[in-house]
Amino acid sequence: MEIDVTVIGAALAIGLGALATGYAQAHIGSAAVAALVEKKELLVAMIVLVAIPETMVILGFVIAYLILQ
Amino acid sequence: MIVPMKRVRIAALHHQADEVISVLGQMGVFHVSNPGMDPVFMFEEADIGFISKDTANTLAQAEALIASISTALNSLPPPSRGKSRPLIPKGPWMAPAQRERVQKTVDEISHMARNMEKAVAEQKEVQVYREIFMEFSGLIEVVASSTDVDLVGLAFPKGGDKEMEELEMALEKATGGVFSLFRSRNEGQIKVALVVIPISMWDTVSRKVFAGKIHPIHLPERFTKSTFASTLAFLMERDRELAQEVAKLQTSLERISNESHFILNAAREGLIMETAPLHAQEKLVHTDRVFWISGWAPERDVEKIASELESAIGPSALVYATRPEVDQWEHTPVRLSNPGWARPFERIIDLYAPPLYGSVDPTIFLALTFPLFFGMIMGDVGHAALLALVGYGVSRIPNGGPLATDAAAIIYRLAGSAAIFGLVFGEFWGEFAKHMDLYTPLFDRKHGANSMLAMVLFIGFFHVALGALLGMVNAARKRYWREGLEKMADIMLLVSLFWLGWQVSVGGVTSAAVWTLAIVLAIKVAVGWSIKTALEAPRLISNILSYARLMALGLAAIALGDLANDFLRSGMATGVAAGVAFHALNFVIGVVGPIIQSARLHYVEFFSQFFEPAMVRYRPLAVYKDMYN
Repeated sequence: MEIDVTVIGAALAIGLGALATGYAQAHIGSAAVAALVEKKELLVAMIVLVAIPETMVILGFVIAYLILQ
Repeated sequence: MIVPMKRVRIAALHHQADEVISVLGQMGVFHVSNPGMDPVFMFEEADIGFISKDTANTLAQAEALIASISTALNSLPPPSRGKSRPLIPKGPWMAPAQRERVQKTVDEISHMARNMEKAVAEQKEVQVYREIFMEFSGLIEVVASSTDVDLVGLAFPKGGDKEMEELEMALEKATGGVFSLFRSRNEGQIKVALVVIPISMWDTVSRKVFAGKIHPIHLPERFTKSTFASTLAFLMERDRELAQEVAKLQTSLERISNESHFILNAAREGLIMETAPLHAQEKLVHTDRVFWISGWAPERDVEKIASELESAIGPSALVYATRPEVDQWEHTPVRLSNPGWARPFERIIDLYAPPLYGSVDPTIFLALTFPLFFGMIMGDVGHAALLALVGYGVSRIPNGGPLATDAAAIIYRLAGSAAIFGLVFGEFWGEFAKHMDLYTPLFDRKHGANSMLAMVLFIGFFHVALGALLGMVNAARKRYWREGLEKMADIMLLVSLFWLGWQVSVGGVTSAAVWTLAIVLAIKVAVGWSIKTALEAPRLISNILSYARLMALGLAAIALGDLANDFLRSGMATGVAAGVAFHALNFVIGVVGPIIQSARLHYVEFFSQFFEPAMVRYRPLAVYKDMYN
């Protein structure tokens, strides 16, 4: 059986990126909620902070896409 | 743009406080600030009071001028009678040009008065010596040829007979009678005498007689000529010259008096009148009879505040306004004012923070790029149509107020942009239209993802470079030249990275591009004075790569749309229901995701190049008028 390593590479690129993003967002999210309880005006800043780790999965997606091209 | 503000201090009598507050509340433009943040009320500048440092300097100069005008007027003879008054210019005398003119006249008078004083003093001196020489000419000639005796000249004020008697007694006692005293017959302003004593007794006489109140006069070197006759001739000539000089100066002073006496008097009176309120202003901070309030108001409203207060409580209200210096920008409240088409986007800026006073307001840029980024991600005509409907719904919210109006305006722009990109990409509820052969896309982003990626990175490059350019502008406005140079180095770094990236993508990297990048990095390190600044390069690369989300999220939305369309094409009732549900989910994700990601690209990638948040938002004191309805 032949294994196409490019597929594995693409899966790793997006999979690891997604795991890392999830891990980061879990921690940032819980801290953000705690901060919002104290200071509601931080909502926008918190949304932005939560969105920051998404770069990893997005870049992983792009790399996966480029691998599969 | 950011509305220009002025720091405004209002002072009035204590019992007028309520009226002042009421007027300010009705006007709704005065932002009350913490007086602790006002330099006037801070300890180190409390002595300045309600006037700026510049005004305090002007006041000090005006006071000095008043003093020198008084001195000059005292030096002038009174103006001739019958002379018509010259045309006296009107104030304000505090104006620099007026002060300069007056100062010039005062300087001229002072110069003449000094010359006059010197000439008169010298004239008196010359006259004393001349009198001595003339009175005792024979005696001086004889003594001058003797080597055993010394000659001492003495001067007494008019009527100094008593002093002369005392001198004679003192000489008698000191020399044992070995002296000769010759009194002048002259009855002028001064009385002179000559004492002839043996040279051997000079020390004793000097110690015992002249150490007291009687001082000998010595002929200054400048008057001493080779012979007695030439000295006397010189003294007489000098006396004549000085008389002419004094007369000439007197004539000049009389001329200036006729020309300028009235003007100088008017200037002095005018300056006293004009400095009086400033003196009062200086003391306002130190008295409890005055009510004062410190705050900020838009520059254009300051005059209106003054006129409204004057019409409400009369001239006792003092409004003192100054433009904030760079070091006060962080305490200056910020109010944005942009063209109508961009104004709703001020709310997106405001969600983050208003920009620092004096810096660049990015609202106009954001009003263009936010819908652009949103549209590139959503890029679906079906979603855009539904979003426009949502916008319409928002605009119809009862009592929604300006917030609903602005939100609807933003949503319409986002929907418009998404519709335009939807037409370009040929997407209608995913690839529904393409599957039905209804439409041929101008650009298929699903199958042209590489081109799409290149395009969004290109956009990212320009967006980040624009941010660095705005950073340069901000640095220049604050006169932080080094920071400006760093931003310029950032732009050079971006260009060199772009050049290298371009060559990598086409597969032909040249050494010129690599060397350019290396040189720019060296410049960056040199400007930043730290090797750490070279780490800016990866940060800038990461900023640009972050724009890949514009492509990635769009592709993800297409994938979800395709899945929904597959369900719909199944024709089964459950499939149709699942398809509709997936489309609804895709729409919600397709709205929320692009908004968050567009905001993030602005807040993080764009703003990090230049944006400095303001510490204070403009919140004017205002009466809530609806409470009376």
